[in-house]
Amino acid sequence: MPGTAAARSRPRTRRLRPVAARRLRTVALYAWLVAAVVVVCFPLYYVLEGALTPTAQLDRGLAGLLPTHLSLDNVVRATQVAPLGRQFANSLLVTLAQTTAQVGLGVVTAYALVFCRLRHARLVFLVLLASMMVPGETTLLANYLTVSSWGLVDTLPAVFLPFLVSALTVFLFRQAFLGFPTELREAAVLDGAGHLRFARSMLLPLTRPTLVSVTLVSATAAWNGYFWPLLVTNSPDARTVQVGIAQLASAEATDVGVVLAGAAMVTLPVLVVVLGAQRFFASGLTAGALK
Amino acid sequence: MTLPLRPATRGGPARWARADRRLGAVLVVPALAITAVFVFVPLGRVLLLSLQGTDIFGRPAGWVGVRNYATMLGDPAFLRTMLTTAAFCAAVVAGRLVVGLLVTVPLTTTLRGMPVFRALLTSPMAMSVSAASVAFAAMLAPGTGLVDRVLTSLGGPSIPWLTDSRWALLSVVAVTVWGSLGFTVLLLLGAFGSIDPEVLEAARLDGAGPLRSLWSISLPLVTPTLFFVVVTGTVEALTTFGQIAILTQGGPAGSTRTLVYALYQQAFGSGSANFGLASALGVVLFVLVLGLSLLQFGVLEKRVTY
Repeated sequence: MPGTAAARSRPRTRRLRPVAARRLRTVALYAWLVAAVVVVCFPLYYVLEGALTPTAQLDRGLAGLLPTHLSLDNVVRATQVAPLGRQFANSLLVTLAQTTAQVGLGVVTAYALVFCRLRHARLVFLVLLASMMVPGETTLLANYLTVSSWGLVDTLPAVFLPFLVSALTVFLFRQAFLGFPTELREAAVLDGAGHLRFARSMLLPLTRPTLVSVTLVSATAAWNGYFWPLLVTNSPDARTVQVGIAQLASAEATDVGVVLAGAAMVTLPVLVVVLGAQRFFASGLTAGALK
Repeated sequence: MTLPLRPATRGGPARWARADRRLGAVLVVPALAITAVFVFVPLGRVLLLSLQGTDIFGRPAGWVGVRNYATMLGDPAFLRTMLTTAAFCAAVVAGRLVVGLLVTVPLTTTLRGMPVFRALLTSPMAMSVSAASVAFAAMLAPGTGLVDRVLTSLGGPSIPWLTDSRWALLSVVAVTVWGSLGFTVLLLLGAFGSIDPEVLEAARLDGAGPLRSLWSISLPLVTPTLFFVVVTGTVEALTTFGQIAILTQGGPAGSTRTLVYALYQQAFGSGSANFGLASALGVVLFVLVLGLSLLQFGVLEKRVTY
């Protein structure tokens, strides 16, 4: 209801003004939001629509933006001119390996830090945190030398080896484990549950939201990698799909439809996660910020 | 975390504690070892590489002291690279804050349909740097790109978004701001959402309009998050690579060559592989990122204590 101060200063218009003003504000806000959606979502729309629209149609400018000539030709052509299928599979393997390692080692390390009465737990944790202050773009110079001295250049393990541990993941699991109710832990101990049983039947089920969101964020990051995969792979068949579509884009620059088909192939799996598991994904992404 | 005594079935509590500790030590070894091999040792190695020369195959050859740093500092291109980097970071961070707030603030209202708008406005998160850059490259291509086609068909000028040194940096900034918008909006939504509604209600009862209450109440209360966006956004902008590699390759005429892109060109660019010089650039990057991280930790620590 109208505020008392406003009522006192504008006694005559007190019944009409607030309602009209509020309606106007609502309309303005919706107009603003719709405009924002059009601008912000346009590139995504263009990629998805363009992937299914022939280049001849796309080259017509505004008219090409209407999804009236949908076909899968671009996608088929994109997979013919570049080994996108193979590269897609490479990316899936890299994502699977990297995510499994990051989540597995994250859980195990955080468990040790929180539940094992480790002597130097704080020191270990600080060392891991310190590693977050070292930019990967600095270390990749030496990591490249390491990986090539192991003869792994142009292989898939080279792509995920440096990323088997994520300090941020350890940090997030540690936070979740520290919030685990002490009484439940005590009850498990009194029941004679060992570490494995405690972790499997109590800790992990109860911290599942963290497990899910960290896994999703970790998988997306692995899927989206670009700089390092570009460095350590050379042959088209060893490339990840992110590098693959960038090369497709420079090789087929004149065929917009094919380029957009590649971009759409890469985007679709993540889009499904971002929209389908919105809450988990969002909380995983922002968890690091809310220390 | 201290635990009550374990049931002393085998041995005593002391024995259990020892076993726990041993298990803990075993469990932290893999993470520590991998972090050492792929973060700390490489960091040391890059520091050492920056003090070494490079042979024609790009391999380290002989100690040269600080000569790489001297070469770097004496090169006018380095100064230009650092200025470009600073301009890029400042523009990206400012863009993220301004666009992020412009998008987020309307989302914090209780109007109908906000969850749908929220999902739509954060959906650019789904696009990787590579996919976004490829899509923008297609849209901004001179003459044939969608933007040019539409602009010229409406009688507008044809703008060389990526091929003119006056536009290229701005275009890369715009793509970067767009790509990070979803995450920025999520962070800001979280911050605005955690404001006590009673504070806002009190402001409203005191006669504060929505803009006044935003400016005097909400924004001051979300400054920690704004600060977080500034610091982590600067680090992210500093380490930007994909957009530049795909959209402009540092060009035209070096106008989008940032620190990380210069590092890439020195170490892996065609022709002159110079790991020594690239490592010196890597050390500069490390120092900058370390400084920003310490700043962030210092301020957060302060925030936690009151």
